[in-house]
Formats: sequence, C-alpha cells, structure tokens
Amino acid sequence: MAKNLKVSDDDKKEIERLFKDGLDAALKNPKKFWDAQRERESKMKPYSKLSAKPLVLPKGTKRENVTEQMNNLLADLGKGK
Amino acid sequence: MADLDKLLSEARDLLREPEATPLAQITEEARDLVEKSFRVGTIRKWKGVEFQKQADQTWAKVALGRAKAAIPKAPPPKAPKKAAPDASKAPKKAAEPPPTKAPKAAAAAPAAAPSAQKAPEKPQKAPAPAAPKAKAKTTHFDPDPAHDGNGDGVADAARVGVPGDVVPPPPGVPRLPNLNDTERAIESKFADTFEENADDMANEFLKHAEKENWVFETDAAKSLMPEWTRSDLPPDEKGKPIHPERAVARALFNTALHQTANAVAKKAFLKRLDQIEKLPEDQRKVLVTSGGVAGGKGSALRAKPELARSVAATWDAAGEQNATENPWVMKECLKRKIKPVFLFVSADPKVTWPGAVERAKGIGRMVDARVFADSYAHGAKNFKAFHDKHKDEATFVFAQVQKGEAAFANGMDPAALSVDADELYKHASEYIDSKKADLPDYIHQGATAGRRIWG
Repeated sequence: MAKNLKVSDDDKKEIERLFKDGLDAALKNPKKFWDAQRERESKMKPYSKLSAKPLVLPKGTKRENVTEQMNNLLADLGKGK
Repeated sequence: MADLDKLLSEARDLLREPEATPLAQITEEARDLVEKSFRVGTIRKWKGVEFQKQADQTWAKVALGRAKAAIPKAPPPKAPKKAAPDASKAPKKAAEPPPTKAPKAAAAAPAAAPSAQKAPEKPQKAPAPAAPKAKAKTTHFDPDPAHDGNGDGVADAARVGVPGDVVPPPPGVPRLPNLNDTERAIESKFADTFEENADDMANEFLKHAEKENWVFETDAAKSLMPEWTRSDLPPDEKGKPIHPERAVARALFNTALHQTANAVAKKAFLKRLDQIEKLPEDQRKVLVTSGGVAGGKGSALRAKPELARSVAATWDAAGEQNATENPWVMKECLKRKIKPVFLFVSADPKVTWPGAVERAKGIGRMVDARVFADSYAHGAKNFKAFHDKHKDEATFVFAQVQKGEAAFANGMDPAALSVDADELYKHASEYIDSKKADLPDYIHQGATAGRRIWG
C-alpha cells in the first residue's frame, strides 16, 4: 500500500494560492457568502422518504388544520358544484 | 370554481376510460389528479377562503393578504420500530480522566463497532428478533472529546456527529442525551430514516455534492430534512432576511440533526472516493479542511470555486468534529491510492464567536457554545497530533487569519494550541447571555442548548 501520498510542490502552492484568495474574500465580506449559502440550502430538495413523513415543528408553531374542510370542498367537485 | 371545473373536465379527458366509469370513481381519481396538480405553496381560493398546498399534500387555510402559511397539525411521530442497541452505546464520560491517559477499561471507541460495545459498566442487550416491537434499552452518545482510545494522538469522537472512524450503518446513528421532545422527534426521524435507507440517502447527497464541485460538508446534509429546508415556505430571496420560520427551525434543530447529517455526508464521501479511485493518478487528489467553527473554511471554498475544482473532492469537515475525522480520511485515501491534502485554518475564537452569532441571523443555523469551544481547543490539538504522525506521508497546509487576511505557516499556530475548552466555553456563554436581549430567542436557544444536553 502506498504510504507516500504527497502532492507535488506546485499542486500544494496552487492550493495555498486559491485558498488564500478564497479566505481573503470571505473575510472581507462574510455576509455575501452566508447569503449565498442560505440561498443554496433553501434550493436543496429534501429526501423524498423524509418528506413523506409528518413534519416535526418547533413547539409553539401555530398551525391550523382545515384539511377536512378542504377535502369536503374538493369532494363537491363530484357534485358538479 | 370555474378553474376547478375546467381541471376536472381535463382530468376526465385524461382518464379516457373505454367503459363508463361510475361518477364517484371519476370524482375520486379526478380529485387526486387535481390535488397532485397543485405544487406545494400554491394558493387557491375556494368559496372566498384562501388555502395553501402543504408539503404533506394537505391544504391549510391562510390568512388574508397571504400571511405565512399555516401547517396542518402533524400526527405524532411513530415510535422507532427497533431501537438499535448499537446505536449509541458509547461509554459514558469517564470521571474526568486526563486527556492523554484514558484508562483502557473505558477505552472502547464510542459506538465504533458492535464488538466494541462492551462498556464495562453496562451489560448489553440485543433486542429479541422474534419480538420486533420490544424496545431495547438505549444509552445516549456522550463521549469525552479528549478521549483517545486507539492511542493515535487524535481523539476518537467529538460531542456531536459520529465517531471519527465510523461510518454508520452499522452501527446505528448515535443519539444525543437530554434532547427535548421536539429535538428527539426530529433526531429520530432523520436517524431512523437514514438507518433504513442509508445507501439511497447517501446517493441523494452525492448528487448534491456533485453540483457543489464535489464538496462534502455535514451541514449541507441537513437540507435532506424537510424540517430544515421548509420547502413549504416561500424560498429565501437574495438580499432579503431568511424566512423567520426557517430561521427558527435551523437554530433549534441544528444540534439534533448533526449526528445523522454527519453520517450521511461520510457515507456519500466514501462513494466519491470509490469513483476517484478509478481516475488517472494525476487526478486522484482530495482536499480535507479542518479548523474551528466559523473559522472561514467553508466560506473560503465558496468564495473560490476553482479551489474545489482543482481536486477530485473536498471533505469540508465540520468544525464541530474537532478534526477527529482525519485519520479516517487518511486510511480511506491510502486504500485507494488517493493523495489527500490536509488544510487547517486557525482563527481567534473570540473573534469568530460573534461572527457565528451574526451568521445565525443570516442563515438561521446556530452552533452551540460548548461545541464551538471544543472545536477550537480540541481541534487544534487533534490536528497537530495527526500532522506529527503523518507529515511524511501526506501534504499539510497551515493557514492562519492574521489582521483580517490569510497567511501560511509551517506548523500549527501556537496560540491555537493554548486554547482551553472550558475557558472558551465560559467566554462564549457569557457573550451570548450578554447579547440575549438583542437577539432573537431562537439564536440564544440554539447557542445554549448544550447547557441542557451536556450540562
């Protein structure tokens, strides 16, 4: 099994250069990257099997349950209303 | 009314039954089609009342003027079918052993493998297979973040996530102690579903990582949870504050979701390593970042996408893991002849903690103060030990933040090694308490959850 897995000096320098650029930019304007992260996270789709399970919400979240009312209203479709 | 009638008519056309179908059946099928045709978030007006489609396919009444959507009451979550006895059988924190001299008797790596479950103080009980509903006794995951059971110089586990050398399942995802009911429900939902669908969920996360230039980060895996993304709410817009309900969920659920998110990310990362193994030698490189929470690792990667593109994958370690995963990454890279570059960012935690609080206002996610403190105190020591052991085998980069800019050094910043976890935790706690009146409640709760979880 190979034990020496070092990258070349050029590769290391390139990584350092890119990381410095990135970190400097992030330090100058952290909010910009937090916003980008938030936007990215909000676009990511949840896993389908988790979505199929009931939502768990923090206590105190106000919820209204009018499912039955809505289903009854939709059922009226069949009655031609 | 006219819209719904039109939809029903179109649905009937689509069915195109050759024989006459009873009206009641068409109604049921058409209703299903109509229901499914509405996307989550759609608002429909029905008899003067506005309803909004929810993620669980039900409809909920909304206030006039389209105030935030109300969510139907969810039925209580089912109890887990079986509580995996392996899930969190970490030996409880020993009575303050010295950081480098943990007694062998308590030295079993926490939740590392079924064979390592023999904590001397607790007999193990496997659930009887013939009685699937029998609830096995579970112990919670509460490792000593300084404990080094295998003597490699790097602690075996952080307080959160999975142990450094472990990629569940097996064993099961370790469960945190002292969660409140809601946290426990959400932890269980995520962990149980992962344990039942580990490969599938990892593949899902792998797809996400590919879109992110093959960057794997634990926090991103939390977005697999609908309670985190809250796609039932309007999406967050650039330049505007995060939706308040989303912010609350992220601050309050961050710790409870971390265990499984870490497991998902690790499993997906291994899949990517398997892919990299097949690449030409000059492409077989990965970047592994370490450093304290909110130190800038993740932001640096986002700010410079060319960095992630310069390697085949990036393990952007969560600061919360205290750099305990590096031995695992090294081992997996060695197996596959992949070259890892281990990069550590050191920063002043007294500067980054206010930054983390500020960040929470923007992204919602708030890290607990205890976990934050550990990430600086233990992270630096673990990384140094790892470097000392492997400096001739892999490439190491030491970055520091000096006067607001990145600089490089040949070794670990001495200041990073002198951070004391308890002192920093005290400082971070006092800071967050001093800001309590100025902060949304959920940020303070997220930052202080550790007082309840770990005491």
